[in-house]
Amino acid sequence: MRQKTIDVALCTGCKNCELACIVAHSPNQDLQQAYRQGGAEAVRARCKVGLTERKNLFPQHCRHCEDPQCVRACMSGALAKNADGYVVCDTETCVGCFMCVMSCPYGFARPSTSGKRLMLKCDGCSDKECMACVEACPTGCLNVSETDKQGDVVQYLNLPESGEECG
Amino acid sequence: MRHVIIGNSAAGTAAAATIRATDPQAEILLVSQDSTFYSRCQLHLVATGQRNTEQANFLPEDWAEKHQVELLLDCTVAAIDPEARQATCADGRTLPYDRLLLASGSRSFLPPVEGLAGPGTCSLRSIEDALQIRELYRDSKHIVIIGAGLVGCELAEALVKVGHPSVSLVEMAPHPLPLQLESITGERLRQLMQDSGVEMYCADGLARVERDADGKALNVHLQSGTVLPADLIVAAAGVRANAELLRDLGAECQRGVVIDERCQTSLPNIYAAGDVSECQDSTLQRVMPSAIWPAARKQGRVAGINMAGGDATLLDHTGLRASVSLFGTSMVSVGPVFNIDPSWHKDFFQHTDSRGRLCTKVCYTDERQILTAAVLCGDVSQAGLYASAIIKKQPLGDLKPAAVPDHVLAAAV
Repeated sequence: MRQKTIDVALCTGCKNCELACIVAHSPNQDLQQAYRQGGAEAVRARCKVGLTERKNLFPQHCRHCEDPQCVRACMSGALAKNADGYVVCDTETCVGCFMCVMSCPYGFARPSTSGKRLMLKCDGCSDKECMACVEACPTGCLNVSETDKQGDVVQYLNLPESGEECG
Repeated sequence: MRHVIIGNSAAGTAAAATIRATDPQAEILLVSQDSTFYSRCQLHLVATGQRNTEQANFLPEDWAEKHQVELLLDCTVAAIDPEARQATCADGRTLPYDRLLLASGSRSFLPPVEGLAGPGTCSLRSIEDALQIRELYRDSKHIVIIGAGLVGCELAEALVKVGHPSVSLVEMAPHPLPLQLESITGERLRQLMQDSGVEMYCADGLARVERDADGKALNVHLQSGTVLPADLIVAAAGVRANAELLRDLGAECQRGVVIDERCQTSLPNIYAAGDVSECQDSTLQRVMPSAIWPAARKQGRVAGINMAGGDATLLDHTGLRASVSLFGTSMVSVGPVFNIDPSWHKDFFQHTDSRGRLCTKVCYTDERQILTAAVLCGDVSQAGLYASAIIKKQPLGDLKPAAVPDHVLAAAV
């Protein structure tokens, strides 16, 4: 199993992961072209570096949950877990009802910005040799490893203190 | 253990797959009146020819085989005998069971209005209804849809999208989607739909349908006196649960079959899930239907686990969630927007985003600042966070500003 680990303590907020994600999912794997030809509308990274209420950096990535609410909510059959345990969307089948958007408690199923009525989410770069965000991470915050262990395909390390701050 | 499941839509298929995952030895029989598997949420696309019936199938082709589910399609169950633990089909066949699941859904309701029933009047509940509309809509000059709920609004949009020149929508409430939207967003949607080519007749009702000597529909008369020419009428004014099989046996029923948190009915060994059922809603704290796809799937899974001998409960269950996109505007509604407690505080936020869309958020909070209901229009990308806050009864907190900050509520989920 290909497992992605996210060590929150190592994130510097450089956002290289976001750029790499946009490039990896652009038609020609070219950043300039993705922006110039696709326009801002077509550009939406599937991951995002955010800030917690205490202003700690927090890299936000799809968890590919064990019990994925987006898949549970999908009425078209477009969303499913693939053999590697990553939740992927079949864009031919998706009708853009956005019930997944309404159901993901992390806010990581989102409407596509391309103008087409489609949902957009991290596909774990399942069709690629390596994960674009992990490749681009210069700090070691994002890592990928092969593991025999069962369980979450995405694992967070050193999560910022939650509790009261998150309400 | 032998399981009989009545109904092959969201709840029934979720239950079948869950029973299989829980008990590899179980015998599973899925009985349905339908001849195919299809997603009811896509019927407006089938009715307007944007998707065919194969595309409306929400399951992989080898689903039944993979989960070893025996199928009995095109078959109507006529009676259930809880004593003998067997179901009897209309064709006389008997189906013995150890556990039974009623997931027979609901049917559309035709309001008792003079002249409404007859040729040229359709509903949109089954694939047959959708195919009938697909047959009729091209040759019809004027289409009138009764009821601006999710079905009515989505069908109106789909008909305009495929180029129908005359689509009218009649709604009793002052604005479309009265169960999902409050007054501000509702009025905006009414305006948007009107501007996009749907003739909107809100705060008005159907008085009678005028037909010619052959019974062909001519005009729809509204209570306000307005007369709309119509040769195709679609009734989308609500549904009735297909609960008779259990109601007749004396099972506890309201509009649907009442189930407990384990999806069990008041009858032994009989479970219910989906539109046919009613259960405790976690946001309103009362027993009511939860007629949305994700809720039916969840009930089906919970029922399936319990039927197979496991133990699961409907935790934080609510059907008061809806997502709809109409004429380029996405909307998500969560919580009892149609039943706002007078003590709740209403906040209205709006901003224009980087793509020039007007995005609005309406949030209701109770006296403890707990988010109780929300309506998002335009930008719905954070809708899941709002839904999660409402269901988990968390404060509005950081979600409050017009532009949702990057803060992750999820860390607390």
